Amino acid sequence: MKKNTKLIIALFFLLLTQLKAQVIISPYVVYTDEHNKFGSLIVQNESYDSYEISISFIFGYPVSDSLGNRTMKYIKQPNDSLPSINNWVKAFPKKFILQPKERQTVRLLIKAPKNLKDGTYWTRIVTSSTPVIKEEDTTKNGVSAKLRFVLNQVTTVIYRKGKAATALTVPNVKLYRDSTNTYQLLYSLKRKGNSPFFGNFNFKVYNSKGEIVKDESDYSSIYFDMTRSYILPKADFIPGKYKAVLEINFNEKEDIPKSKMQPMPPVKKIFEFVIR
Amino acid sequence: MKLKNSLIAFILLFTAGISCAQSFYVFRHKDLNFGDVFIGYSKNIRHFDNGAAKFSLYHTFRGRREILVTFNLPKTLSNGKAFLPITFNRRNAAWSFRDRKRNRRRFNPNYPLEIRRVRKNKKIFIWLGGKIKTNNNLPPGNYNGTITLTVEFL
Repeated sequence: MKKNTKLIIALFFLLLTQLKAQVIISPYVVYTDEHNKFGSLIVQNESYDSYEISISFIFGYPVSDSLGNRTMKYIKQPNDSLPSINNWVKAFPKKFILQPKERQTVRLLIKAPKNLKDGTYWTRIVTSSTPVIKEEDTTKNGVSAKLRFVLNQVTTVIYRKGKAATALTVPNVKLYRDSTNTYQLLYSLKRKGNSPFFGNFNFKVYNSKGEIVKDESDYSSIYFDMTRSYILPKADFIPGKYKAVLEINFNEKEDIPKSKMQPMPPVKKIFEFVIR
Repeated sequence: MKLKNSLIAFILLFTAGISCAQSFYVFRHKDLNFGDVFIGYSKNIRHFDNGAAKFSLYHTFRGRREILVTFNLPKTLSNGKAFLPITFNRRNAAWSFRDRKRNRRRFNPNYPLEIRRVRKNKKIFIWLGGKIKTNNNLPPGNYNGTITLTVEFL
């Protein structure tokens, strides 16, 4: 019986941690194309509070500096040279209140012009959730200060027209030593074709004995040319000869299950370097 | 034994609908609360103080992802009539993969925070404080403001 009680308590806490999540949005990428101009996303309120939800759009994509530090670049009024659907996308409804445990399907409609060139166009969906709270004045003589939080969750809607293609090349790799004497490998990535690249990046470094000293992988999206950096921690990289192998595998279906784009062959870049 | 099996089945069924979708999961544990402040004094809430805001987040996508967290911070709080300046710096913000005070990584909340190669279901905890300074002419009352927290993949 004691065992069961412990189990019940453990499961109760497991449930609690699962249910405290605020507002959940799914899917991460909404896919539309010239044959299906409607998409939808689901906004779920998994908390015990009411939230005011608003949907807006902004065109943006990840960028990096020459050292591989990344951030998002947002353009409020994108011009025609950019693959933006910001001016053609509409959401229904755009604003609503979600009561605890409620969910709402938001329909997206893309009204793209017919003379659009082949390729992939996109914009970012900003789902803002603001808690609906009644403020109470409890202060008498002093000052009371409180800040409430608005949560913006950013996802993507893409629109694909005609023949979409993408590819990635790695024209050069640099070994860079930063101000703390830590080495980094900087890979410049060139995106080709008319669409962003979604894929897995697997990075391995071997020492002169053929032993793996670094092994990491991640999933990433490359919208335009950028630089990726891999840090080589001092503790693992004593002076000597090394060989770095970067393998990039196209895997758009991970984020866009409906994708029909033909997979491109894997890219492999081998780079040998010396740590002094 | 029967009770145990039923409970497990119930939990699995109940959580499946929530957990299966690939998404971000963001938890707001606490708002940033300065409490009561005497007029003419300042109050600095550091990331490990009780009044600091606390969040956690994780994703359920396969593979490691790069997460960008951006705060849009107010410069003043208001009671509708008067304004109270507020500032934020590296001492006010920290993040960690664990929910504990030690070994947190401090960051400047005025700039985007990039958290690299975060694996599926790995929780990230974020704490945010701030500093307010009241002057002697400030009218008493409740001063409120809004912080926007933006979470996205890079």
